Amino acid sequence: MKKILIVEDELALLYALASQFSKKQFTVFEAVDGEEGLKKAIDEQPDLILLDLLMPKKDGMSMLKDLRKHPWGKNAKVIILTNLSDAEKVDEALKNGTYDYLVKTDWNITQVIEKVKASLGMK
Amino acid sequence: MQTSSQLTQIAKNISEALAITVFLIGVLVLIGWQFNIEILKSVSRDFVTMKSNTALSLVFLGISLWSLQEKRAQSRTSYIGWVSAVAAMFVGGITILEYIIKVNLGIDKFLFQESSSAFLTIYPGRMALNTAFSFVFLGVSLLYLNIKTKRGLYLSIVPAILVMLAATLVIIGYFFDVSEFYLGNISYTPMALHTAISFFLISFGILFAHPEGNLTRVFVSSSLAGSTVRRLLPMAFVVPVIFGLLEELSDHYDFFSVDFGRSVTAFVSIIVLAALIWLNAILMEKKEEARSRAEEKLEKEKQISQSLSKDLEKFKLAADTVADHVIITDANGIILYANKAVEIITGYKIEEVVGKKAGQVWGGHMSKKFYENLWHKIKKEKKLFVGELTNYKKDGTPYIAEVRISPILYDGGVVHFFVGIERDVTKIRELDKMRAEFISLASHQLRTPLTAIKWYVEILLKTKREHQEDGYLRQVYASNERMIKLVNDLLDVSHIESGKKFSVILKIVDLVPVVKDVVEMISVSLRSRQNKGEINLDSGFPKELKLDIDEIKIRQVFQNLIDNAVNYSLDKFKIIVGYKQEGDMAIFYVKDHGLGIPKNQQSRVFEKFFRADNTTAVNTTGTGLGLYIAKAIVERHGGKIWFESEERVGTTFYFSLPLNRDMLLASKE
Repeated sequence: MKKILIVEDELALLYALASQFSKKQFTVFEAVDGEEGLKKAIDEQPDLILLDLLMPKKDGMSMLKDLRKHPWGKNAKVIILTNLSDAEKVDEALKNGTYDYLVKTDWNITQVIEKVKASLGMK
Repeated sequence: MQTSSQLTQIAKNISEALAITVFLIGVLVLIGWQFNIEILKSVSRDFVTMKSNTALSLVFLGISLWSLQEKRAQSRTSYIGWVSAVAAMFVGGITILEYIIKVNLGIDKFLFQESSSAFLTIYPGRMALNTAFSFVFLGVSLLYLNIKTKRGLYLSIVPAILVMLAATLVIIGYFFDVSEFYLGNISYTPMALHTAISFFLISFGILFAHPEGNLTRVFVSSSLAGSTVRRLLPMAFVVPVIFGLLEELSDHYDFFSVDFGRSVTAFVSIIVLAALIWLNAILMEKKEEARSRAEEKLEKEKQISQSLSKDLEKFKLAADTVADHVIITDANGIILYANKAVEIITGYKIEEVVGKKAGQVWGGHMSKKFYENLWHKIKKEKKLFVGELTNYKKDGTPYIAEVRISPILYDGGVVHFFVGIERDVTKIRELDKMRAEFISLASHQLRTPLTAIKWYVEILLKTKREHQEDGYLRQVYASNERMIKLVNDLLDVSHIESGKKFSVILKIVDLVPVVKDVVEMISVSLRSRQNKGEINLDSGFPKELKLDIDEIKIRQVFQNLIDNAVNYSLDKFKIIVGYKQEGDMAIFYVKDHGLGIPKNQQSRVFEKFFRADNTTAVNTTGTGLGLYIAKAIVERHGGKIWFESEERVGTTFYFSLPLNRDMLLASKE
């Protein structure tokens, strides 16, 4: 069983994603903003975090930076899943050691799950 | 025409020559006394002798005038001049004293003896009284020659003129045989002819020694007055003397009666003088014309220079009304000129800025490297520099300036000065930033509901349902994908337009399945439309090709190129997607046998919103953005895109991607 944390403020998208991860393979944690995301990440220490960028309270980039300051979070595996595609954001995310950067509209859920599995060596 | 300074020099040369002449006359007469040569002593047997004292004094005068020439005035030689002048005065003065006190003081026969029976000589060896006075006068004149006060001037000129008049009178007396003129009072010894001539010459020499400073100035003037006096004044001497002589001759040989002779003389004199004056007037008129022409020319030149300065004024006014900040600096960057906008933009007064470097006022806040680069460009390469930099106003507020600096080169490519034009683009950059933020936000907001539709339709499609419903859902999905593509295209265009980095997320990916997927997807949609066309991979297409690329973006390029090939082909088409390797580059191509691109429009193919004329009739869905974005994507990957096309034959689009990761990284920066 792999632990996954999805940090996503748009509830429709959060439910859609969370519902498609197989219950047999994944335990899915959900958070709706960066603050909650950071807390859950440190509490649950998931194998992978799917992280949105544009969110209330604490945005994804700030959460990522805070996470990197934490002893556990330093090496946590993160895939950015967002609809922001500015070059600056991409560069900043990659600089902060993210595994991948996905623009939501470019991928369907099946593909996202494949990417997650690939990153966790689950194929 | 000679200039005034040339004439002055000539006059000085004449003065010196006269000094030498008089000196030689004196010497010759002394020789005459020594060897008793009558012709040297008295010119003619009928004339009185020049006394030896006179000859000696003339030698003194000659030496004096020669020594006092202006070119020697500063040297010790001028002492010799003064001593000689005093010596001549001394001889003259003693002689006058002898006449007054009627005592022989022993100077008369100091040099040579003269018999008491000498012709017309009352006191043997003693010079005439007027000769003695002349020596005193000329001595005074010479002593004051180089004293340039008003009094010095008078004391130099007036005695010389008096002596000249006296000498002239004597000479005329000899010519016309009027003995009273040269005898003076009959009871005294008369002045010898060559003495009178010598006095005339030496006076002349004195007057011309400083022609620029006294009455003779007009003689050396290059003006009309100068040429008139030079031409006519000698005539005043020559004409009457010549006619007098001619009359004398005719009297002598009895050619005419005396009265007839006189009237002929008067008549001819009138004609000659009138002709001279007339001729002079004509010459003067010609000179006057030349002068007025020269004046006209001068006036014209003045007008030109005035209009030039007006032009300059216009330029300045124009430069001052320009909203951009304009400065002109010398080759070292010192500001020579700044326009009004400089004051408005930077807050520095023009007077505060001129004479300084930009770095001492608003500039100098960028990195050292930036300025090195700037100076290298404008000074070494001598090319236009264009850049954007942050400067500070006088009150400390930063502003963003778009700068253009051009070196102004003169002959031989030497940098003479620089012209710098700065535009305050702070507001524009702020707007750019706001626009970019807006687009980023808007796209995010648009993409969120599109993602929701995409994902939920996907979930619905996975669940079992009736075939017809499935079809509807696929339509929704396809429409949504089109909407997503449109949003992506607009976002890409806006990114390209703003000149910002085009975002690519590079990963090492096997491109072959991606290309196969695109071909398969488009083929499926073709079959669903009952289209008989075919899309095939070339037989040489590799089985695996790992490249460092943004998978989504490169997929987009293939999709755009194949979509175009399909859309602009006729029914039953065959499209081939191929690959070849050239050096470090992977080259892909998409070949169709479709409409082709008209020759005259081929250069515009990669322009934004461009659609060739012959395409709109066949297909109406294109936005004209596909190739524009494809080009940006390929170039962002360090590759190139191009095509070969012939109308009604077909088109092949090529694009290259670097095989080598290092090259890609280099092109990324």
